[in-house]
Amino acid sequence: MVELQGITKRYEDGHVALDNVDFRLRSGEFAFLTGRSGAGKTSLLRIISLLERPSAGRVLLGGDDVTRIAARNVPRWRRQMGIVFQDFKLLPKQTVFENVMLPLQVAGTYTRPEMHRRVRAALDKVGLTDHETEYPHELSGGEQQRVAIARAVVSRPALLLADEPTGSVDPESAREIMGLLQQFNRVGVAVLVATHDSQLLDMYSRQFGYPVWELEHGALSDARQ
Amino acid sequence: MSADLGQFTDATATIRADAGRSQRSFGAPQSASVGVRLRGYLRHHLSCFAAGIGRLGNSPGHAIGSCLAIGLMLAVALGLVAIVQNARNLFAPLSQLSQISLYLKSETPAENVAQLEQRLRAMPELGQIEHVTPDAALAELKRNADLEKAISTLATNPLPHAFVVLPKMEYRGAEQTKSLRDVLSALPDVEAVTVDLEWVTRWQTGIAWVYRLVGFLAALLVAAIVFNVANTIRLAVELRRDEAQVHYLVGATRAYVRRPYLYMGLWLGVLGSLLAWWAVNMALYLVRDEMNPLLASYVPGVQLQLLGWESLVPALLLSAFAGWLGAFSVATGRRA
Repeated sequence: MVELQGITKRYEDGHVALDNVDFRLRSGEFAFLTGRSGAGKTSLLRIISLLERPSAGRVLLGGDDVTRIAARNVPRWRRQMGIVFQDFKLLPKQTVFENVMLPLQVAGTYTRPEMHRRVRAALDKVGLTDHETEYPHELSGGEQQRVAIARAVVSRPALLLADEPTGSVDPESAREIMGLLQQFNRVGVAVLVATHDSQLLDMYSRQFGYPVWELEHGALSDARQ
Repeated sequence: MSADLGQFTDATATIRADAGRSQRSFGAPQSASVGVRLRGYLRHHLSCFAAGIGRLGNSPGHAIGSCLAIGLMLAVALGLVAIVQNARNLFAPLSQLSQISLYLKSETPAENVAQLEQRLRAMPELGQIEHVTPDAALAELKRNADLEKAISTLATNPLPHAFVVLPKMEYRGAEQTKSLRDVLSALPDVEAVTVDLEWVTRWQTGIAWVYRLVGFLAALLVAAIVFNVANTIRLAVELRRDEAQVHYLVGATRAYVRRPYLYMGLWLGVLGSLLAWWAVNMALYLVRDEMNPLLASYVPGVQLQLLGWESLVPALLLSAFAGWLGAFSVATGRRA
C-alpha cells in the first residue's frame, strides 16, 4: 500500500527531518507513528501525501513509484487518501455539509444526488447529521474533528492519514475520534495516526496490537522492539 | 454516533456497502462518464462565475478601488472614442472633398452621356453620382463666381457635361482614389478627371494617426489593467491561502484552485468597463444641452452623440480579457 525506501528529507536550512527511513504500511493496516515534537512525524506524513518531495529515497503508493511524479498527477493520488489534521483545516465560511462535500466536488466525477447521498452517509457515520447546516465555528473541537474525518472518508479513500487528530480535543472526544478511525479501518481503509500522546498509544497499541513506529532524530524504529 | 457497522440507517447504505469489501488499495481513478465529468466541470465554472463577485466582497475596499482605477483608465479610452465619434459627425461634410469630377469632351452626344452615366452607376466603388449638365454648370458659375456679366457675352455655353462622383467610404483611401481616377480617365468621352489627392492623403493620414493612437492607448490600458487586477488578485490569494491549501489537500488540481481567481479578475474588468462607459455617457449627457447649439452653429443638425452598444461591447471584452490575464499571471505564478 505505502512503502518508503531510504527516505531522507533535508530542508534548505540544513535540518534533516528524516534520515534514511524505511517504512511500510499494508492495505487495511492500522499503525501509529510517534515521536517528540519536531521528530519528523509531520514530514513523513507530508511525504506520503505528496505534499513534499523527499531529498533522497523512493515513495511507492500501491506499488507505483510516485517520488518524482509530475505535479499535475499528484491530485489523482491525493484523491485516494483522506487526511486529518490537528487543526481540522475546515473552511470556515462553508457549512458542515459543504466542507464534507468538498473532495467530491473537487473530483468532479460525481453527480449531485450521488454527492449528497455520500455526504449524508459520511455525516451519519460520524454522528453529525443534525449539524449539516452549521458552520465550523458553531461546533466544538471534537465535532469539528469529526467533520474533518467525514470529509476525509467521504470519497472512500484507500488510506487515511491523521496528524495528531486528538491533539485539540478533550479526552472523551479523543476516544470517539479514535473509535471512528478504527471503524473506517475495519471496512478496509489503511490508517496511519501520528501522535505523541503516550496514553493514547499505550491504550490502543496494547488493546488492539497496532504497530507503533517511533521517529527519533529523523530515524524510524519499531517502538515495540 | 453509530458505533457498530451493522447499525447504519438507510442514508448510510453507501458506507455500509463498503463494510463487506476487502482491504482497499490505490489504483486507477474512479471512472465516470464524460457527461458526468463535463457536468462537474461546467458546474464548477458556473459556481466560480457566480462566486467571483462574492469574492470581491471579501475585501470590498480593494475591489472598489480596483474597479475605480480600471474604470478611470477605460474612461480615458472611451472618452477618446466619444471624441472621434462626434468629430466624425462634425466633419462629415468635409468628406465631400473625396469627390471626383469627370469632365466630358465638348459636344459629346447625349446618348453617350447617358451610356456613361449607366456605366458609372454600375461601378461598385462609387456611391453618389451626380450628372451636371452644361446649363446647370453655367448657372452655378453665374451664382458663385459673380461672373454673370462676362458669361452673358458668350454666344454659346462652352461648358461640357460633367459628373461628380463620390466613392463609397471603403474606397476613399489615397491609393484607391488614385487608381479610381485612372479607371475613370480611361472611360470613353472623358476629357479630364480631377480629384484633390493631397487632401485625401492628409485626411487618411489623420484618420490612421487617430486609430494608431487609440490602439496604443488600448495596449497601455490592457497593461495597466493587468497590473491593477494582478495586485488585487495577489491580495485575494494571500487572504485565501489556507483555503487553497485545503483544496490541494483534498485533491484539487491547480486549475481548479485557480479558476475562482480568474473569474474574479474577469469580473473586475467587466465592472470597470461598465463604470467607464457609464461615466463617459454621464459626462456627455451633462454637457449635451450646452454643446448641441455650439455644434449646430458649425454644422446644422449635428448633435452630441452618447456612446452606444458598439463601443460598450469591445470595451467589455477588452477589459474582461485584461482582468482575466492579470488574474492568470498571479494565480499561476503564486500557486494560488
